[in-house]
Amino acid sequence: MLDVISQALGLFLSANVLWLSVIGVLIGLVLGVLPGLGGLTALALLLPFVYGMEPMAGLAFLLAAHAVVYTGGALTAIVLGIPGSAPNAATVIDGYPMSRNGRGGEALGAAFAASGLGGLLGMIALVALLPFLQPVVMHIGSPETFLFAVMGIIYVGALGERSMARGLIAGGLGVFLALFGYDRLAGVPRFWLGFDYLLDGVRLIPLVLGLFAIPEVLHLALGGRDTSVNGGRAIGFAPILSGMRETLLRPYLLLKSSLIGVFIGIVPGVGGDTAPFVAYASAKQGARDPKAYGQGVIEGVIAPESSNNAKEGGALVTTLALGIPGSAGMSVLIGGFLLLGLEPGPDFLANHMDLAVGLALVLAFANLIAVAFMIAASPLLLKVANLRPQMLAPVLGVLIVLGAYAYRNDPLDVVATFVIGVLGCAMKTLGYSRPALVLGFVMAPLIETYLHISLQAYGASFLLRPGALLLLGLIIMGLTWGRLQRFFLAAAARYGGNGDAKR
Amino acid sequence: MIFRGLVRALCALFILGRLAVPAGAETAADFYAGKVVRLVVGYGAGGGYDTYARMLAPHLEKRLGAKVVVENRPGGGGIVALNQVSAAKPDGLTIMLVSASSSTFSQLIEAEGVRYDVRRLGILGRVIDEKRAFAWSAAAPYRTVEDAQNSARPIRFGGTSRTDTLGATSAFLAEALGLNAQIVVGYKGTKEVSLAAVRGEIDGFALSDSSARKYGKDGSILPFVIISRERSRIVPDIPTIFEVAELSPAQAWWMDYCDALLGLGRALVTAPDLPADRLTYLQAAVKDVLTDRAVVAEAEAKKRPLNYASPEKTREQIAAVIGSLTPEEIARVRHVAQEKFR
Amino acid sequence: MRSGEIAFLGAVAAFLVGFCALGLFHYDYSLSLMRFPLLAAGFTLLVVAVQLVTLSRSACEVPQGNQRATVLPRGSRFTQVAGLLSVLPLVFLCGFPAGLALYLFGYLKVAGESWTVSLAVAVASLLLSYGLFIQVIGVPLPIWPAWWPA
Repeated sequence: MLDVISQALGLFLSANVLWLSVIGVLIGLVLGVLPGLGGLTALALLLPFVYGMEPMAGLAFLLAAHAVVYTGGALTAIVLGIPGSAPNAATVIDGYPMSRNGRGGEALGAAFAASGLGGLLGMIALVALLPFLQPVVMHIGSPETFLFAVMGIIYVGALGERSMARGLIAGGLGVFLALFGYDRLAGVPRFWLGFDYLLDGVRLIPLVLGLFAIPEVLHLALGGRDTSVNGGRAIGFAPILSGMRETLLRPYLLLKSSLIGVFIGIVPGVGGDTAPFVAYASAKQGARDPKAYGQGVIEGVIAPESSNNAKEGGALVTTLALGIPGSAGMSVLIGGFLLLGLEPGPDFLANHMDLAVGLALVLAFANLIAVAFMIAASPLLLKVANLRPQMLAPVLGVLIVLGAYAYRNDPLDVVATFVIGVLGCAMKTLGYSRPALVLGFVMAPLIETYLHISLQAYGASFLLRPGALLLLGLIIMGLTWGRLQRFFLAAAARYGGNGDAKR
Repeated sequence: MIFRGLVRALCALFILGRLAVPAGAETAADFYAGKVVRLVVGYGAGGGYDTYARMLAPHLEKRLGAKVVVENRPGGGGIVALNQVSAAKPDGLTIMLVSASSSTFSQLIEAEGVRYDVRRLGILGRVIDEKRAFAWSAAAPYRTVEDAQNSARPIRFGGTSRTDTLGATSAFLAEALGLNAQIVVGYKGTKEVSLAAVRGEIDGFALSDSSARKYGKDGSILPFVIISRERSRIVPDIPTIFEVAELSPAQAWWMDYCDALLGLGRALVTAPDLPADRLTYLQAAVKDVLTDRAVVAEAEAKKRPLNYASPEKTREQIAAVIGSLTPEEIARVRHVAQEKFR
Repeated sequence: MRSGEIAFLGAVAAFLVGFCALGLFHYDYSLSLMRFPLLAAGFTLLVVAVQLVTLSRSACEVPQGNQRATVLPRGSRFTQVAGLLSVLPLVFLCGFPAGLALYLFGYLKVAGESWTVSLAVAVASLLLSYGLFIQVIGVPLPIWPAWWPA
């Protein structure tokens, strides 16, 4: 093992690789900050440039860019309420209220620290699991994937901000919207109404942009913020550093959220997008004061951000070890591998373990550099947020248009974004949880597909498989844990009180 | 004096000469000089088609004298892009790398949203064909044709989408051998299907011959047959279905049909009704590129091999697969591919 | 706000019921195809009904929306929104790079920025859309207007 690590270090510490990693990080951060150009689009745009590079250098470039997109996305999520990419939507829930309460710097510091540490933990998991992965993933079949997706969607209720009914309606609507378009199972596109555009149904990027970005831009145009971030004062480093400290003071939360990210990232098919939502909901469930979530609680920023970056480590494990993309972003990364003449999979690990470990190093390096860059740039970037809203609005509008187009080179995506924007405005005004809709949207196809496969391949007894039973147990525990905890605490208090009273 | 007169005469001759040339006699090469040709790919960046396109684009650029830009237009499994290309203006500036087999199959089963007709497209040449293999899961109890035919329970085959050729290949095999089978669709791609087979979730699946070589190495997947009359160059050890089973003519028809369909492989196409000179120019350029030894070698090295077939041959093959079938045969193909083994 | 929410819920219900009906009766989708949509729609409609009942029972519940009261009068609000949305027709009429640049220039100028700032931002957007996206990255942004017979 040691010689593999030293070989990996050798690969990693070449000037080319380091240089390209840094550039990759910069590009990834910029693309992450720009709304609409999220992880998937970013990677796809960078892919052609990799053609002709050396394998390690090209992969380092792609991976570095992809891994830090969510770190950059946290900035717009917190400061503008616009998630840089779909996984950052969970950060908006508490991050944005924090910044509007004047605690933006703190939220940013916490988010960056969480991202960096989460990414590191993901990398450690990657290296630790790589040799063992195959037997583990062998046991994660379609039934387990189905239950993972169910677990993800059950947390929809937890995202319901103030009212569970509103969260459920939003999630249900998201599920329904996901069912438009071509369905692998039937081979028939549902509800496509004869429009080519709807053959694939509603797409994720226009959905996220329309739901989050458009209402914010409208809000800015209509009179903007009554309080700018931090009351208009320039932000020094102090609040950011204090936010970072807050993250470090919560190691249990950090570890739990990162592990959630890693494990969800590993399961191929689920796609890491749900990891931050599950981490958020799990943090909320285990909190002493769940009601405070949604108003601007720092844990609500730490949990999703750390799992966001940790999931990349997990997804990379599956991608490298099995050649199966854990998420859409990873499938583009695999494209990068192919362009460079490599093919991830069991063979790859056998012959190129040093490359795999080297990529893990790149992951860690990229995460750390990203944090450093973002912290250094934050005061400057926050000044942007304090610009006149009338100026910010059209600029964001332009970015949204470019981002929506670049997603699939389809001008109709731009129109769709604005149409969905109407829904987004309505939901924002009425307090319906938009992250819940996104979560339902992402999970629904998985649930339908893997339920179908499980039933066909195993029959109804698929629930009795050991992995499935374990997950069922986790789901039930997750749902009831909070309540059980409070029940036991209350019972203990009563008993203790009686005991004292008797004496 | 005389000299000036001569010059003037020459100028007059020159002008007259230019005027005498009819207006539209610009050759195809002139037309393409300096223009931008869009090489459309119906899938996103990084996929197999994208890499092929990006590999071929610079070579096409040199031969055509025009700038060749790869454009990704994902959507509907490639259907949307092909719709657009086939309805585009026939000016010869848009070409597309398609899966001729998938596109033909989608048209055959009348998949929703198909608005092209592969028989009318301008064919520029086949880039690579595909032989399909069939593999068992090591965890399944089947090793020979007899095992499969005597199976007590329905055999589970894996497939990706119901409109995709992967599941259909298994369906054709099941039909040919008279198997009691169920095609489990829904997996995201061949890799996922193969993992499911390794896990024992499904019993067998179809895959390309190159994948058969890759996956068959560690023994968890057992390549069984090649669905063709000839063995594959890539995995010459795997017998063909005809060697392994005695097939009646009716049964053999399914296997031949499957082979013909998949043999359409990936092709370069353009809009229908192109001006003849531009079509010929494009076809010549494509042929030059795809048969150039240096390009072929580069492609082999990049694990993206080429196997050129002329436009005429490709058109013949398309006709064999879709053009010359009776409506009853088409209905039967559709039934077997999509409904029979649900 | 309540009437607004009731209208919204009504729209959601109409949307769900409408598409399900379309699928079942007009397009004749099979039950297996409609299983999941019906489940999702059914569940959502159930919760919608519950929410409607809650709304009608409770006295003026103010939902925690993220909307702050706008200070602008109605007419101005409309022009602001229209101005913001003008990006779409501009891009359609003039192609992406030109349309976006015009949009920024026009919007900023009308919003009261100086000539230099508006021009500078417009030029920056040209650099971004044409320079970065089209030339460097290779995204095929339509340069020409959609109606151009090119």
